Amino acid sequence: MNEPAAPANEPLLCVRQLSTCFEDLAAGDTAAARTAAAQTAALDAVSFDIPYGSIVALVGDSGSGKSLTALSILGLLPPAARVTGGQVLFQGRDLLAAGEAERRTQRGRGIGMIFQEPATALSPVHSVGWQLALALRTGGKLGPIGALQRTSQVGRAPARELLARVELPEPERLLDLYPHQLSAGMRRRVMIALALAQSPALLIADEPTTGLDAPIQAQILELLSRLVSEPRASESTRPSVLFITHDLCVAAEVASEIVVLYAGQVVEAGPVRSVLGRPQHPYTIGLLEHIPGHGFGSPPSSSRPAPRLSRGSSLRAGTEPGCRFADRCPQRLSDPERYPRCASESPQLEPAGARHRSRCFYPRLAGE
Amino acid sequence: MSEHRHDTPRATEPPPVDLLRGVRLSKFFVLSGSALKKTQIVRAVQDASIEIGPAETVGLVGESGSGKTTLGRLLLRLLEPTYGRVYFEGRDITHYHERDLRPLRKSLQVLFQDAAAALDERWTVNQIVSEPFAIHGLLREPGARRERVAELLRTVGLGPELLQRRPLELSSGQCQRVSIARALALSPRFIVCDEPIAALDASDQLRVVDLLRSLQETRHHSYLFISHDLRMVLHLSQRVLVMYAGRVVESAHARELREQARHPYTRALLNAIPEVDPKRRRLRVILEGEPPSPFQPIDGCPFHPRCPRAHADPCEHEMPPLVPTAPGKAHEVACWFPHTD
Repeated sequence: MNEPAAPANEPLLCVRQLSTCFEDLAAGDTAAARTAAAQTAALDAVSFDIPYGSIVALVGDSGSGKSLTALSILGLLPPAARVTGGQVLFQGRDLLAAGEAERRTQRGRGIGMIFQEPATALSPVHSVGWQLALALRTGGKLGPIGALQRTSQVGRAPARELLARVELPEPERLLDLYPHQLSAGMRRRVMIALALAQSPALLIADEPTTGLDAPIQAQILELLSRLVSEPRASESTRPSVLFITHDLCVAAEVASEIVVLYAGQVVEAGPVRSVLGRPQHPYTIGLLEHIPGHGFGSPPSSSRPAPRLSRGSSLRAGTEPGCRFADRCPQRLSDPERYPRCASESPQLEPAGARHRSRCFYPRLAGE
Repeated sequence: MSEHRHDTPRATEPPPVDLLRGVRLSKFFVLSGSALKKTQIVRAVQDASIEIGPAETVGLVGESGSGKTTLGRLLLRLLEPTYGRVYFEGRDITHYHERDLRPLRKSLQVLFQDAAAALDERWTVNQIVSEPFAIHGLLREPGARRERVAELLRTVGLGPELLQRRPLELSSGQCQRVSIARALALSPRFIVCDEPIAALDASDQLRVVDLLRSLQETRHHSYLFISHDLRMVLHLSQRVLVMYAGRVVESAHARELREQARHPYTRALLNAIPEVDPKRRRLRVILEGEPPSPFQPIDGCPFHPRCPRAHADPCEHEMPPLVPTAPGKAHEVACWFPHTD
């Protein structure tokens, strides 16, 4: 994905060597001491592309840098964090080089965000219709902001259309309801409707189905796939999606490309079929083995537990030499003598197939 | 929410042989009204029966609001049932008072979903894990208690260096292990695991489930494993009960449920499990709609508004009984038109 010989049409978003770090907090503070490793390099040269009309999944454990990648792209980093290098090319323009005014225009209008937790991301004291109207106004679709009436008649029709687009029943009635009156699944749909309000070209969905029951999760995944794949009147209303999840199965369901993050680095990336069908990196292989029933067939009582990824901090300090995964790598730990490079050199992302990249010195062994 | 109880009309069931047995349990909550609001009755659990044998794991799966947690609390007698009976080791504990329950509490433990919230954040791990001994007046000698706590931590895979830490200094996986250690402290016979892995990372989830299983192999306690994640339930449990809108709609051995689910709702749940392998992905049938609100009970089978197989009669009028799929079989289903293939 990183080669210059990419297909003629540019991808929608190119993240190039994106690095983000946390500033040192006051020394001696226990919280700071605990995340000392994280402060060195929270994101280390993360690169991936999002082609037009596709869903790309960003997969990893908590603390691996998934959400931080999203916030870096949006320019919404917390005060302690800072982008230290790289490029974020959105429709050919480098967002990191752009001024704050342009970035603000891009947020919402160019890149929509579906936040993880609707319970906190939605306002509890405003009706669904009011919140949608605000999003529409902010995008300049309803004239200037100001005199926001709760049941502004002007905002109702487009707001209703947004709710219909996320396939909510009875959109007219929903406009006057408040988030606490909705079920968890409906709130997620409202979140998606809000993100769609300004017809962004890219949607960033941060764990949009976490905590949902399986049938409702399936509905939301189906909706996102449909938003991306189904032709609409104009091309600009068909967004691409950056789908952030810790669940490899969910990623496999919706995405065409997958990017596996570990400790702030891309450890494996490529088309879903290739990454999950022929995983090269021991971390990806470990994640797959952590899916119960992945090797269906043997009843649980008699099955020998598969080797598990050992516990431990997923953040090996970036300044130390060696692979960040070395201390947890089941392959290396099984016989450290056989894998001498892991502790002393840092592996690079190497091609491992068509558009498939992996960051491991001994990938083929891992794939066996 | 106040409890609302009638005396059980009858209990003609044979005496229990299982470790823990719930017979036709119902729990109704009354939300008392005011001048502006009508009094509402929430039927959280209706007519649910469950048996859990020694050293057995029974899985309880269903969407949020289906009554899983309430059923677990009824079995622990943290709630008193509106109807039905609870037997523990053959004793009818349905109406035991708190005083009588206290000695049983050593045998009946619980793990909660949000382990970090279930632990007192001002306490050290040592204090948290030794509290059960303090409550029951055991191991009064401090040295013995400390030794036992360290041993419990070792059992759940934590080192003694965590003894003086507080929950905020632990990862979510470590917090769950601390609460497992606390639950194990008094060597219980039965542990309700209420969504114990829902808040954990994918790579942590299976490790905790593996831990629960290996603890069972050495300590021979039973689990009621409550989860909305059918994949995990099938992985850990010997038998599985599927709940929908407060009722048990299907129960079977895990393997049979996976391969020969009869209830359309169970089929839909199985179908909704995301799969990595595209070959394993069945033709996706997405279940439309959402579970019914507990405030508005549905006539007939509660699943009929979402059910692809529902007929006007009798599905919309009569609740199907939970009956064996074949005479003498342990596989039971509550559906007028169950799948037969």
